[in-house]
Amino acid sequence: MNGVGASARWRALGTSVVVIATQPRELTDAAATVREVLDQVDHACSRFRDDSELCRINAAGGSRVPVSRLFVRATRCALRAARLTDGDLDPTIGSSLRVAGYDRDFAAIRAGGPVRFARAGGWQRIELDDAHSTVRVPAGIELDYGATAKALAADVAAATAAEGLAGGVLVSLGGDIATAGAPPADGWAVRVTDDHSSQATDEGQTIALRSGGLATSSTTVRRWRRGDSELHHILDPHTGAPADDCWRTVSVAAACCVDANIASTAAIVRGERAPDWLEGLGLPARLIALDGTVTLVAGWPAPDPEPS
Amino acid sequence: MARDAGLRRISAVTRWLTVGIVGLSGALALIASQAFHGRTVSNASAASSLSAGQTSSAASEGLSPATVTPTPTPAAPVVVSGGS
Repeated sequence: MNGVGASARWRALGTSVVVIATQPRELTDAAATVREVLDQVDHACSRFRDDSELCRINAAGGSRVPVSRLFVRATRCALRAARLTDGDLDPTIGSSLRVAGYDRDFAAIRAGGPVRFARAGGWQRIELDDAHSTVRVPAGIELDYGATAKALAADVAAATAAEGLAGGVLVSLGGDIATAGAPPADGWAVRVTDDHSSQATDEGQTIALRSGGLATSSTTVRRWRRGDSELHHILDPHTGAPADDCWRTVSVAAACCVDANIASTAAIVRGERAPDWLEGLGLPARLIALDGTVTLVAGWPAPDPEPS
Repeated sequence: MARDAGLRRISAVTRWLTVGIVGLSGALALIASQAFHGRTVSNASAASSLSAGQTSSAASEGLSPATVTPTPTPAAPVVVSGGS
């Protein structure tokens, strides 16, 4: 663990989970808490299990559905993302993903079939009754909280796991990272790259994270074929088609993983407008163009020269 | 003459009464504001009729930068952040 505590790794929410505790003796408790939170988030927000709250709403035919407080929170989070990005993230993108072929757990997607796109149903049509914990969407609209639920899970898991611990905790869900508690003396060393399953020595940059969250969105992963086209999973809600390939990968540091994830995903959708938008928000970011050109904004650190 | 003097006295008394009542009201309001802290009363029926896009107070909250900006480090990474 390179002198930074102890770690546990497993798979959940369709991706890899990493939990690191700066105090090795606290890892077991931290990992148990993270497992519990991820189970709850999966049961609330999964698009691929029929008993999830999200699937019950999608199948409700326009009826109002009672939901848990966690689902209310996830819905607020998804709607906030939509508002702050002018709809570049849209939690009603479920049908767009299904029509494009992402209609099952990614590992089970089969190639083939016609290329079809359908724009998102429109996040303004979600009706959340916070006081009575109910959600309603019109018939035909399908929710997908993939853009924010994983990051919310990381934030909640890290914060909950760190409660009562002496040391700090880092939670990574597929490379979306949340931290809580006291960080290591030199910060959490994170390798930022295209694919979270890469080796730590692969092309990228290593940075020290001392607070908040970090998220990376990339069009290089979760790709599948439809007809003659290769599609990726970051759809533009306004068209339902994969976002234009302006940036292949965007990493953003923010006060929490949710904010980092909102910004990194929206940056992919926004394309050329993204650097100015991120700079205006003061969010340090690293954007990689298709040809590998690196753009750094808002104080993201320049890489140290490679040792000769 | 006596009538004019009486009217002046009534006018003066009325003026002082008005000043006193206004002052007393202000003092009571000040005491009440110190004694009872405010609280937000949620209006369930209003919340029910609005979409969450309109009800969440987070609407006005922008995306927040981290309190400490990331820095370069020569340390070996403990985790990888990438697309998933």
